[in-house]
Amino acid sequence: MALLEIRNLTKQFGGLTAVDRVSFSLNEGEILGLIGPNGAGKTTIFNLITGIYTPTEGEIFFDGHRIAHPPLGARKVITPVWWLQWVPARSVRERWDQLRTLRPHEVTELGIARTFQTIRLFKNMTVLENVMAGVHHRTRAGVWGAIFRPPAQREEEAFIVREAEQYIHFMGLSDYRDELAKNLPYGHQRRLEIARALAARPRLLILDEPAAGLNEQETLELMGLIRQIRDSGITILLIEHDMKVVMGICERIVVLDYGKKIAEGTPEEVQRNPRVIQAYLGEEEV
Amino acid sequence: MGNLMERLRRIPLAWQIGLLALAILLPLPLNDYYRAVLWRTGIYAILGLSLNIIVGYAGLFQLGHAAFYALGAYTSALLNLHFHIPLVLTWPVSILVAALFGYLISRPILHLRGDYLCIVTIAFGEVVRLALVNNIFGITGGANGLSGIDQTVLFGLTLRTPLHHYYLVLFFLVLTLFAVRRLENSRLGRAWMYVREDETAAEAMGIDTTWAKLLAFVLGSGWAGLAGALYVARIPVVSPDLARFIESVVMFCIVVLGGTGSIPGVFVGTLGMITLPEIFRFLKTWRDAWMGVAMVAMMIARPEGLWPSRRIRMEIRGEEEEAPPVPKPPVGIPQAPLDDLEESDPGESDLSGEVEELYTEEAYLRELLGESGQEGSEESTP
Repeated sequence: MALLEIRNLTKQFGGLTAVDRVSFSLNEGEILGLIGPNGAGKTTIFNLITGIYTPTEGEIFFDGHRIAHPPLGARKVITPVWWLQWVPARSVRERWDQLRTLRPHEVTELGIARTFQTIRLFKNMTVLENVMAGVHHRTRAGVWGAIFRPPAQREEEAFIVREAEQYIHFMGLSDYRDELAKNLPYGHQRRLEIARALAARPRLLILDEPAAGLNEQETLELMGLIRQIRDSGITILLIEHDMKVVMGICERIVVLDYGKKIAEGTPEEVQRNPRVIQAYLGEEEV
Repeated sequence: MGNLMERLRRIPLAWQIGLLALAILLPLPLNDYYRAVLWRTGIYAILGLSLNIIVGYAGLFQLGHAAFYALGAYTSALLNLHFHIPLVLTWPVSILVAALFGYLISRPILHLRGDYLCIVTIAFGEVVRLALVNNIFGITGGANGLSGIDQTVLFGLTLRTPLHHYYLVLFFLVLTLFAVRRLENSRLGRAWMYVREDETAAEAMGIDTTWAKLLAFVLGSGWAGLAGALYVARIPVVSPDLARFIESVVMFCIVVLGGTGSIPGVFVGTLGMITLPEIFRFLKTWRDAWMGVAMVAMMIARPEGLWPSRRIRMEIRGEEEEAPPVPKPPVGIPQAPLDDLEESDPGESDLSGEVEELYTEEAYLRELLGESGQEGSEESTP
């Protein structure tokens, strides 16, 4: 069964259609690459999956949950229904949960974690604190725990640190544990973002240009790491401009151009696809 | 650079005890006037610490904090006047009422960004003040406020002198400090910091930003309500003046002057905004003018506050006081200017600098088509 299924996804910004009726699905345990020229709508799709944007049309399913669908207004439902969330009846609340769109943190809780194209670390916090952010949604302590520090809360804090350190170690950042994120070299910042996303223990990891700005050696290491992450049972969806990476580790590739899906297949198939070649070359004959 | 988190956290025990002893002994040689000044300082320190949760930790602008202070005071006063509940027992209710209002006002506006949020909180402050002035429900006593509130009786001891009240406020101040410091270094405290640093990233990491911001608001408002109740405990008269806009501004200044998000900063701010003006009362109106000049000068020279938290200073100044040895990046990594990257929008922006040159469309194409890619990249596409 497909882990992630995108059906007929469309996103318009005003008159601009950034994503135009794109459908594809992602099987458990695979590495899928999403490529296309700049402005093809790749990052928009990521933002739609993670709940930062809501689609204009279409739906996204993750592991059986509908995680994205158009907002109510777009389907001409004029009746305000937001008050449904306060109705104590369980059936009504369940209905409300189906109607509303998920927020990004809820998508993360379901098991999708991401990195950003432009690195978005908590720059003035340490590496450890950054990765601890990923463990946040798996822990529960609130105000009471913070102030009275019962044993359960202390245990939880220790758990958060332990978990975070594990992922820091996995991404090879142990030497920088207490360094501020902004002081790390560029390549390490990229790795830190991945460590932070992994700490959320996702089932699907979404990487937005993880190799951007890395040198040859670092890119190779990164490819190894991505494979290792996949082997540990995490499905990976990745946008990448570096063709060595895409062709090297992706099992399947989806190509976008002007918001439309123009090709899908194995790296070899995609490389031979005339529409793909045309998209990259322009309209002239090859 | 050592364990930054640990160092941010630890204050030597000797210092803690010393400061507490100083706070206990300080009013003894002073006369009642200065004891009252200290009492006022304590009240505003509690208010500052509560506002610091909202403004400092969660990074939300709140310019209507005095409304919650007044709500706490009125709750305490009304319960005492109408139901003759001893003041001590009204304190928890004051906290709950102020927290409830904090919840109600912040719930619909939390998605607003800084400046808009700020305007809504100012408006809320004015709504509360005008409601009190206009004698809402006929119970708030209009512009004259309420008077004739009982004296505070604590475990059979009637609190009469400023000294008694000073110690009462001191007790709650220590309690506040304890709670606030623990909140700062908790899962919730970190959630606030993540939200302040980068809300989008925090959300993508699974942090319920609404939950974090709401809790900041509710805790901060509730605690301001307690400060209001403590005010009533000493002053048996409450008036809508408590909710004046200038009060909110003073509270905001206390937080910003000392350094947003910094606990010692709140005390420095209280000293500057409350204690010193009180001591220099003989200067009359000149005092306010000097305060204004001093604040302008400070915001130019030291925008991060007089005693800033290390983190906020870094956020504002973009520097650290002791530069840690930055590890040399391996040769060949394009050192993209990180700040620029941060600013670019989440659209399909390019990579910057050298990276962009490396991966022009043409190189991209060549790689895609599986060509060798050895030719120079300045050669243009046909």
